[in-house]
Amino acid sequence: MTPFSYTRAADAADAIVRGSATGAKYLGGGTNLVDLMRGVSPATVSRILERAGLSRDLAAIDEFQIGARQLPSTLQPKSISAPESLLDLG
Amino acid sequence: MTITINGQDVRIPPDPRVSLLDLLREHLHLTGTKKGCNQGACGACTVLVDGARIISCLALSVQYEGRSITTIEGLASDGALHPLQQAFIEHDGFQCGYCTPGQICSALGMVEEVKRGVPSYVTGDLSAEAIALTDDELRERMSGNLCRCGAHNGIVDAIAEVFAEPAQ
Ligand SMILES: Cc1cc2nc3c(=O)[nH]c(=O)nc-3n(C[C@H](O)[C@H](O)[C@H](O)COP(=O)(O)OP(=O)(O)OC[C@H]3O[C@@H](n4cnc5c(N)ncnc54)[C@H](O)[C@@H]3O)c2cc1C
Ligand code: FES
Ligand code: FES
Repeated sequence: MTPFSYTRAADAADAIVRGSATGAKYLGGGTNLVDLMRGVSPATVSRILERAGLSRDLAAIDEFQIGARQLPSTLQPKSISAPESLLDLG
Repeated sequence: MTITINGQDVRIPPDPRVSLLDLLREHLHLTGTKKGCNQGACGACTVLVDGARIISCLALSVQYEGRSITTIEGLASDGALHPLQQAFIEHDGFQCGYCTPGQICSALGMVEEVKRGVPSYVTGDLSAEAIALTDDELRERMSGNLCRCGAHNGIVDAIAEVFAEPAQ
C-alpha cells in the first residue's frame, strides 16, 4: 500500500472542507476502501481523514442502513482510481 | 496515540497503513487472531471493539485510537476459559482451529447485536421488542465466519448452549 496521510476531521463542516482537497477520500469502516487501496489502486491514495461519530450524524438523515458503517446513498465514489487522501467519518 | 488491547495500552504505529490485524499479529505477536483472506471475506480476523465485532484485516489501527480491543487472548480470566471457549471444546466446534478465534469473538459480538434488537435477514418481525436466538438466526448471523473444516454444526451447538434461550 502506498503511503498516505490520515486525519480526523473535527466536525462535519471541517470534513467537507478537507474532503474537497485534491485526492481526498472519506473513510467509513474501511471495508471497501482499505481493500481497494491494497489492490486496485494502491498508488493513488495519499491522505485519510477521520471524524469519529460523523457517520451517525449522517445516518440520521437517511432511513436505513445496510449493516456497514456508511449509508448506501453515501457510497458513490466518483472514481475508484484516483483517491489521494482519506477522510474518515467512522 | 494509543489503543487498548486486552486491557493494556499499546502505542499505535505511526504508519497509518498498519491494519489492526497486522498490529496484533506482527507488532504485538498476539497470533490468536488469524489472517485468512485479508479482504474481509472469511471472518478469521474478527475481534471486538468496545464489544462490537469487526474484521481487523480491513481496519486501520489509527481508526481505533482510544478504543478498547478484545482478542481471543483476552477472553480467559485467571486461567479459566470463557464459557464459550469451553463450549467449543465440548461440542467439537473446531477441527484445525484456524477459524475458531474469529468464530468465538464474532459470536460474542453477535449476541450483543441480538440483545440490542438489531434484526438480521431472517428476522420475521422487525418491530419485535426481543429477538430470539433461534437456529436460523444464529446460522444467519454467524454466516460471515467461514469454517474450511466444516465444523459448523459444533460451532452452532456451542453458541446455542451458551446463549440461546432453551426451547419452551
Ligand atoms: C466480504 C465482503 C462482502 C461484501 N458483500 C457485499 C454485498 O453482497 N452487497 C453489497 O452491497 N456490498 C457488499 N460488500 C461491500 C460492503 O457493503 C462495503 O464494504 C461497505 O458498505 C463499505 O462501508 P464502509 O463504511 O466500510 O466504507 P469505506 O470502505 O470506508 O468507504 C467506501 C467508499 O465510500 C466513501 N465514503 C465513506 N464514507 C463516506 C461518506 N460519509 N460520504 C461520502 N463518501 C463516503 C469512501 O471514500 C470510499 O470510496 C462486501 C464487502 C466485503 C468486504
Ligand atoms: S482475514 Fe479478515 S475477513 Fe478474512
Ligand atoms: S476449524 Fe478449521 S477452519 Fe474452522
